[in-house]
Amino acid sequence: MSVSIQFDRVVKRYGSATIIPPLSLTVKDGEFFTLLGPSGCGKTTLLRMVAGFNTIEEGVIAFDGKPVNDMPPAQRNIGMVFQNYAVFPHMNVRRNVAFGLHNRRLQRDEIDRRVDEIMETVHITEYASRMPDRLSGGQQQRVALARAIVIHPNVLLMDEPLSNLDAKLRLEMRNVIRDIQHSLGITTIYVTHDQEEAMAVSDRIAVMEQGVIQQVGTPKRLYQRPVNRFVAGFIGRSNLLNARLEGGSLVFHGTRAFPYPNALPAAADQSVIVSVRPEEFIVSKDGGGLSGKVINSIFLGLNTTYFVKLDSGETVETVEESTIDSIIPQGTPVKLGLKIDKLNVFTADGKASLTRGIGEVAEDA
Amino acid sequence: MPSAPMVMKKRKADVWVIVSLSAAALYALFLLYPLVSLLSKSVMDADGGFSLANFQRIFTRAYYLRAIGNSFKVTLAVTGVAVLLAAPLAYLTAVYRIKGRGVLEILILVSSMSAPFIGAYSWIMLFGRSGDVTVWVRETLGLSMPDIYGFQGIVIVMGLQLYSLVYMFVSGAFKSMDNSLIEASESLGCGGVRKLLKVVFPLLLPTLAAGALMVFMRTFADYGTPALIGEGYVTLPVMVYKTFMSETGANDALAAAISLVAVVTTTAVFLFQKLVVSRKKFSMSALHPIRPKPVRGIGGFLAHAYCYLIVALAMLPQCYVVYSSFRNTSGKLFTSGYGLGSYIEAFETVGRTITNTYALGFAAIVAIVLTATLIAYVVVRRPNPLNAALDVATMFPETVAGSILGIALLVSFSRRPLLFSGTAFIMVLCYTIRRLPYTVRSSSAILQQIHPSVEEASISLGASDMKTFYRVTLPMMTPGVLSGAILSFIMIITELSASIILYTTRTKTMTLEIYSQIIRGNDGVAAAISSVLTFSTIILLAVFFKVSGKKEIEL
Repeated sequence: MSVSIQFDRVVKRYGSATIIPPLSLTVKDGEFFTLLGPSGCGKTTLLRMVAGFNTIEEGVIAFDGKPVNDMPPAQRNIGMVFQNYAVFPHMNVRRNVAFGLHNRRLQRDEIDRRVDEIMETVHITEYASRMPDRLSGGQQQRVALARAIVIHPNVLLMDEPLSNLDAKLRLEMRNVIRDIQHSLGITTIYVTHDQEEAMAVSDRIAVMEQGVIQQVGTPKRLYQRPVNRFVAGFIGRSNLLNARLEGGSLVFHGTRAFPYPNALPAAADQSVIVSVRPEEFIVSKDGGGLSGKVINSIFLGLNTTYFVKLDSGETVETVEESTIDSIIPQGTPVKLGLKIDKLNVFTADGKASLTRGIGEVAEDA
Repeated sequence: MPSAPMVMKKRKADVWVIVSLSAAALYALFLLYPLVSLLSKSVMDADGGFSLANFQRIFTRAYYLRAIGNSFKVTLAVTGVAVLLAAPLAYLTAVYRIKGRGVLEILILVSSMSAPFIGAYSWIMLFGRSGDVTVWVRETLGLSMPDIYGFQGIVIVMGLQLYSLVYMFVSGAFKSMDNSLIEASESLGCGGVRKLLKVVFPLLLPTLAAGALMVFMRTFADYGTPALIGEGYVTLPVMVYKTFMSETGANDALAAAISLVAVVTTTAVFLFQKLVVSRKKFSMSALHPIRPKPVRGIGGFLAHAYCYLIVALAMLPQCYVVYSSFRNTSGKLFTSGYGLGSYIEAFETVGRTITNTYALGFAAIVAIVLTATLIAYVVVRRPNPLNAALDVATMFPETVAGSILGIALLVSFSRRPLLFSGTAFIMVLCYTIRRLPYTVRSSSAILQQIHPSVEEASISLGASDMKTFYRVTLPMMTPGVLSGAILSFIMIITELSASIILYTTRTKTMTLEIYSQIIRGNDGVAAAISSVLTFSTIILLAVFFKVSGKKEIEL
């Protein structure tokens, strides 16, 4: 039975240092929710508060409205998957998976049935009698996952579960995790610093920095309409260009004005930061746009990346679908057109967006 | 959704708080209280009033001052000798491929684990006034051997035994030294002797200091060796014993005062090490350990000769004792021919002491394992001021000489309702307090390598704190706990200085029996029991290596 999780003005302090200032959030029943942020941003701290391994200094964390602050971790009915798997090294795979069921004093045959079933689901049946030191990292992670979900937890907590795996296994395991979560429908909180991984698995993502949630939303919304410069830079890649917003148009260094219909109606004329993702430039030799020179190029197969030094002195990165023609040589003067409707504009300090379509929907439905 | 944010209580006190408090209570009763009793005894005059007369006496009479001075002289000399013998040995075996290195290391280990006073006894049998070598030199060469008794005797015996501790420390440091540090030094133009002085020696210094401190503590606390070979050369533990046990005029208060002087001294040295030396500690881990190079020619010969000579000298007493144990005796004298006579006599007359030793040791080791694992857990996993204090309390008895701890326990627990003197319990208690540190250390060391997430996984799966400890943590700690326990056990069965204060005829152990047989001049039986002790140690060490899967011992 899965639950929704409410965070109401939750505070974490260590001594006098506040790690997480009052934070409120709701994770919906059955949702795959990811806490994403750079290391030290408080995402793991928050996860461990849900698990009960960290104390909550102020505020309330509740499962389906029922506060769990004072409930010991052993009674919260959580499944937890750890970064280092934390598979019990002195028990074989089957006993590892059955550990939580034994603690629940279930009937023997019930335990066997559920263990068999889950081992089948995560494809570890053939390793049932192996000791963990004879398993690969990926196999250990499957054991850890099976052990966490076999107890039918209220909520599944995953702390950077893939970061110890190599790149290929990481891709494979994130699909496994995604599929199993979908089929079981367990409310899941997932912690990672890898934005691509977060986008691939999550229903919704909370981007955190310094203990504060910067933005909560679907992967698509975070990518397309980041709420500030931090999110724009953390999710995907962004070029940040200095410009001025004047009468509803963007004026770059020494260029003509680009009309910007997405600007907030109330936005006054001011210096701004324009966030342009590499694919939001249109590179051409003689079209319109910002002018500059190609200083380097990287052929990546599907795409070709160009580094262009603008006349303003700023260097930007662009991505173009590779063509059969030759790559634009270094030193070639080019024009960079802009896909205006995709751009995001922030105040000069980067803290707020001046683009429409963010304030209205703080959280996606 | 809960509406008002409210200040919530911290998580409820877990079961580990109870563990910490219980351990603290035990330490208060069995360590703090005896030390306080010792203190109050030392400042009490005959009528029970306050008086510093005892201390005045110690610091004004030449007899006491000389003993204190002797203790320092002999301790510093032994520490110096041990370091000078061991450091080159460790360097040679680390850098060069010394043939038979494995055997050498086992022998070094065995000599480190033996009771020092047995070494003293053996040296006396060889080089004493009527020692075999002395007699032979006198009768066949007509020469006289230098005197083995007194200062030089203690230094030879202790130095040749305790160098093994320094060796084990330093060779451990060499094993964790990355060869690329040495290569980096050479590539930067610093080679040869300069490299040794500028890179290798500074890297070893903290380890060397730790090893030297251990030698210092052991020598300072040792009773048996100066008692046997020191003759007129009285050191602090000998004086404490004489003052406390003297049949003509036992003076508990004075013995307590001398004990306190010793405790304060060793504590000062210990704190100095903690505060100054360990602050300079750094951790090394060797990705590319130093590979011993083959060595030939005259250099190779000298390197081998040095290593073999030191180890042979250190093993000489052990071997001679074992050899003596098989000699035939008539009355108290050795006669020609070999047999098991001494063993038969030993088993028949004093076999009880062997079972006593094992029974007391076993009881102590059970107590040690039960407490050490729990203390290690709270110290490592629940860092707070109380547990930090527990950690210090656990390690503190290492700095207290056995005889002093014995006296402290005796003056504290010889009145109802805490009347333990003369019981087996007080001996087990003393062994437990003194040897707990080894097991706590090895348990903490292995616990630090167990990631807490394994325990959290267990708790998140619904297991209670205690169930998690016994089902998950403890099984994973087993190798560390066992190896520490075996070391503790060896230390217990070879211990003399505390037992000699606390024992009664019913609780006499092997070391005590050896000691009294030596005093009585019953060399055959003494040698036989000593050999039993040595064999026990070797077997236990073999078990240790089997259990821990290690190739060396970290103290």
